[in-house]
Amino acid sequence: MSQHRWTRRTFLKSLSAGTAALSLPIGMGWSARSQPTSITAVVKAGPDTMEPSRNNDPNLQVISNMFDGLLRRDPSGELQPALATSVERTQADLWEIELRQGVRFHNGNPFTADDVKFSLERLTGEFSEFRAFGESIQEVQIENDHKVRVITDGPLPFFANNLHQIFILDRESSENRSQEEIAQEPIGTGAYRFVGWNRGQFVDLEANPDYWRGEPAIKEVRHQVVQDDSTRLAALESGDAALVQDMPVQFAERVRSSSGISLVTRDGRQAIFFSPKFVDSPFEDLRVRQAVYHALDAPTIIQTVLNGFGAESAQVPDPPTLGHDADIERLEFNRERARELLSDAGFPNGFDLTVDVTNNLFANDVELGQAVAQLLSRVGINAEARARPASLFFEDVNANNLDFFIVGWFDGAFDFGRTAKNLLVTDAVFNGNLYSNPEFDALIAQSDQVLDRAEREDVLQRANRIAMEDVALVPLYYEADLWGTDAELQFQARSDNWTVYHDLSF
Amino acid sequence: MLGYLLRRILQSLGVLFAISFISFAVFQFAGDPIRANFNVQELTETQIAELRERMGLDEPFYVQYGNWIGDVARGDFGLSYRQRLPVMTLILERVPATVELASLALLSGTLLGIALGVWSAVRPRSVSAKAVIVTSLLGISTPTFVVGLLLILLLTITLGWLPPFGRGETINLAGWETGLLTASGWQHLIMPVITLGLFQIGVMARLTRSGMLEALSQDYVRTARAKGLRSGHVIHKHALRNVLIPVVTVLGMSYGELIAFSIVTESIFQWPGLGKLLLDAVFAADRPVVVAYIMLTAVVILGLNLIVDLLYAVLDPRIRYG
Repeated sequence: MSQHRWTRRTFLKSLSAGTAALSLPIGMGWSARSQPTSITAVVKAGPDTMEPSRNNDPNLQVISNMFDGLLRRDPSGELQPALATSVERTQADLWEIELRQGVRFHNGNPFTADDVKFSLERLTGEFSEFRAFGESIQEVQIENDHKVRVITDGPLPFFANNLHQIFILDRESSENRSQEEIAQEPIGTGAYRFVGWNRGQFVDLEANPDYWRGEPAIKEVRHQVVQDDSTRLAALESGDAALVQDMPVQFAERVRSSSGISLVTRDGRQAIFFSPKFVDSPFEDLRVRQAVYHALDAPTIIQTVLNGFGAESAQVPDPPTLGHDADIERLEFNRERARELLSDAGFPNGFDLTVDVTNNLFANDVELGQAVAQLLSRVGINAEARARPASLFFEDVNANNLDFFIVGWFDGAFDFGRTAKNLLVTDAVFNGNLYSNPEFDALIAQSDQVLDRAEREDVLQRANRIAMEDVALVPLYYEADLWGTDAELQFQARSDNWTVYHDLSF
Repeated sequence: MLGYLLRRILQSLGVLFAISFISFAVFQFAGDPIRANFNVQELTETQIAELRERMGLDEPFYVQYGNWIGDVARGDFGLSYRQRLPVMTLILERVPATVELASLALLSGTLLGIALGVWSAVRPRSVSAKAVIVTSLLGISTPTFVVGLLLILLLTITLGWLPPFGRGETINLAGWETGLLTASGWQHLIMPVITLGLFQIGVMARLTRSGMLEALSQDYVRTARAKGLRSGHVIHKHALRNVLIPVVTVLGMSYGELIAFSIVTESIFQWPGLGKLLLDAVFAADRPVVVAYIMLTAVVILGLNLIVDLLYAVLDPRIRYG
């Protein structure tokens, strides 16, 4: 019988030949990424603009590679000298700044005091999102080419704390370019030079060989946007990207257990709270606020909503923020106590409540809303979750329409005084729940005048404790930051969660 | 013919007006664009009010709409709230990516769909014909995002053959960024085109098949066969030509649908096309971009329908417009 016949042996043989043929391209894919000097990094949200005065993380994290601030933050969040060699507060409203010498912009211009003055003054420009900060700077005086004095409009204690995200531009090349042109083609002193931008896709960067902190190890970077969670995972697994930001928690185990790639997590700074309304709602009564606090079981919420990738919080400022008090503890999870407090407050049968959350602004926020509503139902509150897009949600927050809503907070300046002024003092812009306590307001105002950092920390901690005793906000957790990386890549997740390519090497 | 054309164009203008008003009005309920586009943490109430004034958002709705119509009449679609760039720049730089994706999906989907439809109609009882019917049903009913993710799982993660995101290398041809002239461009096109085109194959195959089955049982086909014409000639020249009228109608509408479905496909593959632009703009309540985009698609769909109507006359000599 000469006819070709499929036997088990021929089948297995062709199968293994087929697998070999398939594995060849896989091997090629994996070797392609191990070029040690160039990487593709994938982020969830790309810049809409690269204008330094637009304050949002997708923008700031990419331009932080091309610009320097007067100060910078190391990966752990500590302030370090950058374009300034020293920044000192010599009076409540006066800052003296010594500048680094011998630094050049990417276009060859030398960096001088004039550029600092220009960069600080343009913060008050049209569409700037650092305007409040910019307008609190009264005057920038140039002492000489390498020294400036900044006079603030009243005390601005967190001035230095914000300088890592205020980037310094070259006056000469920026003055005659429009804001739009500057936003398209950044010229800074940073570790990387701008090469090209394909909007909605990627920003290409090349190493600055003359960088004052030394030429970066990674010479070429493609900062690529991939919004879809699954596709970001695919980019990592296929080796198309060496670094992936915002790994969704549901893929964490998969990344952790795959070979060739690693999962890097870090306690995040993004804190999630719920905000009870202090006027015209059952939450007027402290006991009701405490009841809700007692009813929320943070560990279970973190497990179910974030797959465990989060840390409980008991206060508004996170550990690296000035004003954090390690002694504050969460009210214990205790349903009996919650029911007691509710009936003491006159709500033995609970009340109707809408739990308002955003839709896809914070990690798994929709699921969080449902979890919170369910936990509140368990103590007799008739709670229902409502998730809406940010634009609609914030309109209602701003109009003080919501009784119980999600708050996500991230203080870029690491200063509880600043957070409080935005979020908690009477009439603060984001005080959507109308919390008002004169004692708290007085302490925050007092903290402005204190020059000594340790003393100021003490005042801020006192304010912090008052807010938590009042249950001004119901704290829940800090989201963890999750990254996926090529196992060979030397990478340390930063406290600000930015992609800073100077930190990386293979 | 000319009168007909003029009438159609006038009607289209009326439709465009209505569409612009509706899409503009919808944004009254889409939330506050300032809060969606600016980091208001860093602004005071006065500064927010100033921004609102600068962007013309403090005016009543009808004034805003009137200003917008006036600007559009001068060819100015305004600036994106989010990016502070002219809307037309943003839209035009995205057009090549979507047009190449949608056209390839339409072309390959239609040709393949018609071929499969004819095949399954000519041999209705064969196993392969039944396979075509089942597969086409699958193509129609599988959601786009499932198809896209399965493709990525198979072709990127398991086999490592195709890149999962972006357009690859593009070449600028007189202002048109094309991905059709580079190997990397084609590699990046394959998965999005399959994802987007699968639905098209299914629709076209089923449409062609049912039309062909009917046509093939008609007397004129039997007569043609009886005359001794070659079977291929009968199928293509006699039967298929009559089936093409509904196919062309669907084709015109499909292009609009492909652009709509491309939103999902473009999101999965991070395809830098119009769908992606629209999606981001909707979430940011970026009215100038969304309204201009809707106007643009409306013009394309109205134009395509007009072309389809004119094509009827070419395909079927009995149809005349006067």
